[in-house]
Order: sequence, then C-alpha cells, then structure tokens
Amino acid sequence: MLTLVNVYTAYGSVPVLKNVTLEVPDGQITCLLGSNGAGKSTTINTILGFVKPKAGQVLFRGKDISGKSTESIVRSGVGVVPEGRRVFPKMTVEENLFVGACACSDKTRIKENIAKAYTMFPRLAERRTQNAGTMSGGEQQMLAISRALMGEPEILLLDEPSLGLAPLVVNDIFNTIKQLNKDGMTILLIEQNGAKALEMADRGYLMQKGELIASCTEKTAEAKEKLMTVYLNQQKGKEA
Amino acid sequence: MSGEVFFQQFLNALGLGIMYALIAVGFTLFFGVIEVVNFAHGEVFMMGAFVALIVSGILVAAGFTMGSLPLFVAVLVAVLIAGGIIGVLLEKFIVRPMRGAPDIMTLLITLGISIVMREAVMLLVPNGRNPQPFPNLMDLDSIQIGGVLIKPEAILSIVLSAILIGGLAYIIEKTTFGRYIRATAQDREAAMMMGINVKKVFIVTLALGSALGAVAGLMNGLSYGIIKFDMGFAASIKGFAAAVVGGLGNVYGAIAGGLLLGFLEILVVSVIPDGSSYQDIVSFIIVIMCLVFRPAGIFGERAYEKV
Repeated sequence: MLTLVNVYTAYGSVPVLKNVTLEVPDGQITCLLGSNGAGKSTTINTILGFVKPKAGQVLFRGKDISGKSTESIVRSGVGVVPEGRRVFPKMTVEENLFVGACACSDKTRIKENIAKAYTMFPRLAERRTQNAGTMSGGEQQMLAISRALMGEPEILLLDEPSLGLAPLVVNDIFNTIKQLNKDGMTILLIEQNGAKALEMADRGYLMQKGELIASCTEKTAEAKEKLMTVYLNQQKGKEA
Repeated sequence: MSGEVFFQQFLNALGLGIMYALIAVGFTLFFGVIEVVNFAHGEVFMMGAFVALIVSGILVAAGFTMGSLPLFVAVLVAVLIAGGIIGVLLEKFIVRPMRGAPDIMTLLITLGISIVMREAVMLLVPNGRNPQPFPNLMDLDSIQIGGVLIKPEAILSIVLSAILIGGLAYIIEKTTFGRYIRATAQDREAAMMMGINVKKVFIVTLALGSALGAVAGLMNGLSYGIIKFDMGFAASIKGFAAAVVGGLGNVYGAIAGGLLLGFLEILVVSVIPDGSSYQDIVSFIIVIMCLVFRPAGIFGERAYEKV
C-alpha cells in the first residue's frame, strides 16, 4: 500500500531521515517505534508532503507521491491523525467531522459517515454541538480518528495517538485501532509506547537518529521480542 | 445636546463606524487566516471609490441614468468584483511569493505596494492629484424622522454595509467553504492534513476581504460626495485600529471595534470644542490604550506572541 524507498529528508542542510526504506502492506498494522527526535514525525511529514525528500521515493499504491501537495496526497486516500490530535478547537464536533470530509462531495455519503462515527464513538454523538477545544484529550483523540476516517482513506497514519492520555483511555484508543484494522484498514502507527504498539502490530520498525536500525516483518512473538530488546536497550542506553 | 442633534450624530457615528467595520473585517480576516498584515488594504478602499466613479461615468455614457437603481446596482457589483480581483492579484503577486518570509517583510511589501497603488491612481486618473467630486449614484428623497432631516445616502450606506457584513458572517459560519476558512485559521497544517486546498482558502479570503474594503470606499464616496487618491491611508489606519481593538483575527471583534471607533470619533467631534481637529487622534489613542491594557483586543483570546 505504502512504501518508502531509500528516503533522505533534510531540514535545510541538516539530514533528518537517512536511507529509510519501509513498507506498509495492505490490511496490516505497521508500527514505527523510536524515541524523541528519532525522525518518526518527519517520516509522516515526508509521506504527507510537508517536507520533500531530497532523494528516494514515497510510493502509494505503486505511484510516487513525493513532491505532490499535501492536499492531493490526502485526497488520494491517506488519512491522518496528527500528533497532539490537532482538532479544530473552536469548531463543534460535527463541524470538525464535516471538515474531515472535505474530499467527499456526496452529501448523503458524508451524513452516513458521520452516523458511522457516532456509532463507533457514542461519546461524540453526545457532544456533537460542543466545541472540540473544550473536550478531554481522549474525546479529542476519538474525534481526530473519526475526522480522519471521514475522508474514506485507504491508509490511516496515526502519529502518537497515546500521547498525553490516561492509561485507560489509551487502551480504548488501541482497541479502536485494532478494530479498524480488523475491518480492513491499513494502518501506520507511530508510537513511543513501544510494547503496546508492537503487541498488536503485524510489522515493526525501530528508528534511531533518522535511520531504521531494526525491524521485524513476521508476526511471531520471537521476532517481536527481538525488536523489543533492541528498543529497550536503546532506551536504557539513553538513560545511562 | 438636543434630541434631534443627538439622533443626527448617532446616525453619523453609525455610518462611520460601520464603514470602519467594513474595512476592519478585511484586516482581521487576512491576519486570522493568512497571518499577514496587509497595509495595501486601505488602497483597495480607495480604488473601490475610484472604480465606482469611473464605472458610473462609463455607464452614464452608455445610456444609464445617473441616480437610477440599475446604475447603482451595476456600480455596486462592479466595485465588489473589482475589489475581489484586486484581492486575488494581491494574493498571487504579493502574499504568496512572500509566504515563509518574516512577517515584517510581508508588511513592508504591502506598505510598498500601497504607495504604488496610490501614486498610480494619482497619475492615471485625469486630474488625479485633486479631489474628485463623487456622483450621487442613487437619487433618494430625504427622510424626515421627528423633525430631523436625514441624508438618505447615510441610511443607504448603513443598510448596505450591514447586509454585506451579515453576508460575510453567513459565509464564514454556515457554508462549507466558510468552515474551511475557519479550519485554516485555527490550524493551517491540520487543515492541509484534511485535504483542504489552503491556497484556494487564501485566495478566497483575500478576495472577500478586499471586496468589502472596496465597497467601503464606495460608501465613503456616497456619504461625503468627494474622493481623493490619498484617502486610503487614513482608512488603512482606522480600519487597522478597529481590527486591533476588536482583537486581530476575530471578525465580530472587528465589527465591534469599527463601531466603537466610529462612535468615539463622533463623540469627540460633537462634545469637545473644535473637536473635529482631534477626530483622527482618537484611533491612535484607543490603539495605544488597547495595546497597553488589553493587548489581545476586546474580544481576542490570546496576545500576539512575542518571539
């Protein structure tokens, strides 16, 4: 579905991503782990066209989308749940959903999708006329996910969906992600909450200083454990 | 002050205030959505007046009757369109190339382009250096309410401005594209992540704001019967002051700021002896007071962050 091939990205002359090659296969959950400043968000920004890669390709369904505008990339079927949720604070829940549907011009489809979002998160239905900025972090995260789904994406990029949320809420969000995947959604999950993300992933990559240093492409406990060990060692090394 | 005079002055203040509001709405939209301070906005106001003058001249030559309704409507539409086109050109040639540059550069460029626009009108309009008489585009009978004779142009300006501002508010609050404008204002990057064409939002925002600014110029000509190439500068300062007082970025704040400024100016003019010489000071004083005591403006939520 989505493949990065030897991607180099730099902010000015500072390289941020170095030779990143990763694959997000159809219908799977792929997770990208790494500590702060490892280049995870830059990876998303590169996929979305906020920064153009200096070299390499970003292939979405086989077509190179690097260099295209963010808007056209999103409209071609890439949904985003941005880091920090980024809901529109002074708009109501329903308006946020409408904005998420901006690639869709069919009014009845939009209405159906909104109804779907409300069934998935009844909490949002209760708060449809409330301004998004006044909701709790968990509710905002539900909104951010629903908003991204309004565009009927083929792949969903989630950037640190657990950031700043209470553990119970994090469980809810992760269950939602699992459920979405079960219903056929391809997912690229970026997380610092490594153990949890890896547990439900089909595929994992570990990033450090802009490079992928480890990966597991099989969904076996063994492979995951191996990746997890590298991840934990890396975290330990940081603390030491 | 007798009741009649009070009523008269109230109407003056309302007319002036709503005109300032019409200008301020543009400033606040540009700042809120595109994050630019567009000092060429005052010149759009001036050009609106001149477009009205020229178009009405052409229409009269084409057989329209001066003062008739069709002529007035045609001129109004022409001014709206001309303002919109100027806005689109400003976006294309000034704002877009300067995106990403430090704010101060964009501000200086708009200031520069405002001088170009001003001088261009002065040089290109025949006898442009001097004030131009503004035709009475709409013949209306004077209205008399309780012994007070009211200039019908004043009422026309007020009603029309109110309709336009209401129309803008409707577009922003109720339409799909208005939602995109608000989304872009609240979080530009998130808006892009939703697939909103931010470039288009910028163009439409500048077109809308400039169209209203241009109509304000037309209103000014109607109310005072005279226009001049350098009228945009004062309009720019007043409109910007109103927007700052209301809280830059807040459309309703800009409307309130404009009305407040209009009423304060008329108050100074009518209460202080020889007050009309002090009229223009008012806007500066309230901007200074506002920046000292409430930097975010009356309705603003956050002070503009200093870096």
